[in-house]
Amino acid sequence: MTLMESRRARATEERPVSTGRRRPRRRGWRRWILSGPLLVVLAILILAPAAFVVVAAFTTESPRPGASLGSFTWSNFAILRDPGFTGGLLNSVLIAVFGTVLALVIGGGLAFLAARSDVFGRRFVFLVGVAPLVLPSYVGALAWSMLGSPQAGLLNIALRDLGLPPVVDLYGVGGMVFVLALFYAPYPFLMIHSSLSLMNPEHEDAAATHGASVRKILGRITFPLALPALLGSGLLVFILTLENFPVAQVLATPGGVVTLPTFLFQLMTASPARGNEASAIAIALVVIVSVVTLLQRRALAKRSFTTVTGKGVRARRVALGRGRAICFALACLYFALSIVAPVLALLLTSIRRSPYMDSFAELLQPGALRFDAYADVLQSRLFATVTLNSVVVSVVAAVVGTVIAFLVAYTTYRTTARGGGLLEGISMMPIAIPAIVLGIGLLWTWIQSPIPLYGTLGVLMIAFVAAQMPQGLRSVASAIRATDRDLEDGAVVHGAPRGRAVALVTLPLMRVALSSTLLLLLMLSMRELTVPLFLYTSNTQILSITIFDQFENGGALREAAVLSVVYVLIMFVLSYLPRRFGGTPDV
Amino acid sequence: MSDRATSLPRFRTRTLLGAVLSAMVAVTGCGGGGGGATGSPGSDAAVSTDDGLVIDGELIADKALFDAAEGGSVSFYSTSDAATEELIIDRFTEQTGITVTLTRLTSAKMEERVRSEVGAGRFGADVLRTTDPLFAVELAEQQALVPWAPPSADELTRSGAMRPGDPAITSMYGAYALAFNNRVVAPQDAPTTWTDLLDAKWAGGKIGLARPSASGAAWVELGLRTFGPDFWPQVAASSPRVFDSVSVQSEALARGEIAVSVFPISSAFVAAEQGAPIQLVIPEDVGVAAFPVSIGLTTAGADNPAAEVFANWLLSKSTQQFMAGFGTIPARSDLARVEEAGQPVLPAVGTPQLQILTTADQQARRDEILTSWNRAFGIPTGG
Repeated sequence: MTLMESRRARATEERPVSTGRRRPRRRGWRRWILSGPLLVVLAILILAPAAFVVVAAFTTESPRPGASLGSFTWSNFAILRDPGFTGGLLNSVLIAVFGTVLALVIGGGLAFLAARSDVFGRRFVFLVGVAPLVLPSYVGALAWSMLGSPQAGLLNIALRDLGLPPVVDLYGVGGMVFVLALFYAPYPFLMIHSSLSLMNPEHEDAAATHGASVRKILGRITFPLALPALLGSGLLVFILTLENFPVAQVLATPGGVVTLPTFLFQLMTASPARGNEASAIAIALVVIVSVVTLLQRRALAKRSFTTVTGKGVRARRVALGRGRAICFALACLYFALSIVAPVLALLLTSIRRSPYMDSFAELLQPGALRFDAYADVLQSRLFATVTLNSVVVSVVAAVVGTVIAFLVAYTTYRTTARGGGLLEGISMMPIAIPAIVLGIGLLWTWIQSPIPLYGTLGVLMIAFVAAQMPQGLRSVASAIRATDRDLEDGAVVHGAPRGRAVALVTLPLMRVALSSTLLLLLMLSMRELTVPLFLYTSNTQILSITIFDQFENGGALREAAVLSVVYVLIMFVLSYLPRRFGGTPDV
Repeated sequence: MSDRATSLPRFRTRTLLGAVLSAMVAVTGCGGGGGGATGSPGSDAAVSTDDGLVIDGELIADKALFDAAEGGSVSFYSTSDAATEELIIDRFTEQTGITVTLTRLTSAKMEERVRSEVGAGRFGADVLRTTDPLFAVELAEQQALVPWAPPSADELTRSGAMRPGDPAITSMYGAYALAFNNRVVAPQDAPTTWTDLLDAKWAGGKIGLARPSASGAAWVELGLRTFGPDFWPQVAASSPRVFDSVSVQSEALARGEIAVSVFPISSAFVAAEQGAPIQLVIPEDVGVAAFPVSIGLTTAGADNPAAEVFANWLLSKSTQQFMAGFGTIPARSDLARVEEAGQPVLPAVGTPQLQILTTADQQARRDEILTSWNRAFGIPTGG
């Protein structure tokens, strides 16, 4: 029996899954006290828009306000047999599997370095891990197409300048896997980092005392304990990369690769839009995701991953020896690929007079560069308005999202309240619904809601909280499973009300994880594009939409690049806030 | 609707272009040479508000309407290019003092949103401009758009832009031609006809095409009708790069990733103004593929005098002429042609070089046209 297994056995013995032994088992309605109100909130946030999607999948007409539903039909599901869907799904699964594995390797590796090693510049490595969150994937994809397209990519121009053959080609499956992994690695990074930095080193110390090698400790104790974070973030990344349209638009289609998101885009841009069939696909995705989530729960269910005991010991750090410098260099390489190169490409685009370039020598010619677009953008009143809107919406959505995610995770994993599985299932639902379909569901919900929120920033906040619930929950859930409940229960035994025990014991223990969640949701809200598209009005325009507008209009690439550069700067500033207030004490 | 409360000026990076175009319109003798101050989008026209709104001698709104519209604001939904619409709005505000807020979305998103708003009885637009005329027809059938009679009704009817009682009026035509990157393609190698797309020299990813949706049916149809059903499969055989949107295609052409492309004329004008080495070609064989861009006054707009003034103004001679400088083709046939430096002269309404896929054509055959293209290029369409 390994050390962890024996510990697990002991933990299970000492601490049953339910709290029933400590508190008298509540009966009937009392077990809904916590979960009931949460279910109502989630029903409004998520089930209502999802219900429209479900209805759309089984009817001949879209369930938009004022329209008839048509009649019941199964025929929308015929789309699942369409070669376009199956072919696209196959390609997308292939891309998502490799993208997820690569993202887990990058994110997990960086998380280990930042949380549990003596790598050079650990604080910098932490920043490197979260930095790509500041680049929305469509901006990242666009920047990488500027860098790595086969004919005129900047890397190929540089190679030609050096007399080398232009061999870089990011159009196609390989390019998509590469770019998706770069920009989705922060998910596993944040979740695994939380898990690793919260981990009590007792087990590892014990193993070391008994003579286990570092490799054995990592393989038998550290990584198995980080399994919830690994699986949770892997699931997130898999689904998000499966559905990512912007990267497919820029890199897959020009390479002749058909993908699931492109196929969905085709359905939604048909005239009239084929929303019913897109909804049928969404239902199929929800089923797949539910099955995968169930498998994940089953894989984790019978074990205890509790490692945070509040005993105030510092996480054990692995001495990398000569590897310190090599690992630091690898982190720098990732930073160069995910941030430096794309931002430089955007910068160059924002100041270059002509988008065409034969050789880098052209940049030295007089008049080749100009900076006036920055002045135009920064002086514009719209810029100030949309930036303020974006920040207000994102901060509120991130805070509310983190609070709800914590309450759901706490109710599900820490109480005997009924409906825990239901809460988790509903919370995970938005991830399976393609963003564009979810966006329409939200529009249909809020445009006819008696609460007059349509046309206000409030509806955007609600949309963001709903759309990002899965990310928030996965992030908090893996941390709550890793946090020992003994301290909180101890406080209760000593007379503290449960709420006070949570506030004074559990929350401080989870400070790192909650600030990571807040950061994640903040970044996601700042860059969310598809979901608010149907909900924003002229008065509630936000930054991500403005950038996409400039880009989507065509010919305004310079302005789009200027905005992207400014946007990256704002995101950097914002990403500092949760760390400033939440703290990453061990980094 | 709260949209109307304030006006948000958009980025004005193209104000200079507006000024140049204004000056150009004045020089070609169509603008009346009023104004005086240069650098503002409305400065070239002779605007009189003494007895209603009169611009360059044409009545836009009578005194009663214009007085009622004074100080008002308009909510404008459009699927046209946002930067161009912003210049138009700036010009309107400068000439009338009426503010306009713009909500711009691509066709498919706009349609979903408008259908939902109309269904919920919360249609936020006063005036709508759409590049998909079938959508305008649908809204007209639902009575979300209402008929109105602009002062230019006679001329619009004569030009075929307006039918009495039909709320959707063609405000202009968008058109597709060919474009090439003039840093990658030498002038002697540039395409001059649609059939040049079949030249073996473009094989292997040098041609770029944006997957056609609503308005793109115009160029697909032109190829089918003129050169037969084998035309697009033959183009597809040369392995062109297919893009999901014009914006990605435009960026690839500007960078030289692709050499030649079927391209929206207005996007070519914008790209050239931005310094992109994109050169437009009006194909010599059968001209350009055009589609109507409709405007309509909504039920809310009908009760808003400012909206009616704006809709009338969009259809006026002066505004149509101004728009022509952005690569659109005026719906009215009583205008002089605009010559833009460095760009070919665009064909006018009524000339054989302007091949319009009319609203009726689109109603009858658009799905079939797009399906055939998708089939030729191996694009899954889901049935």
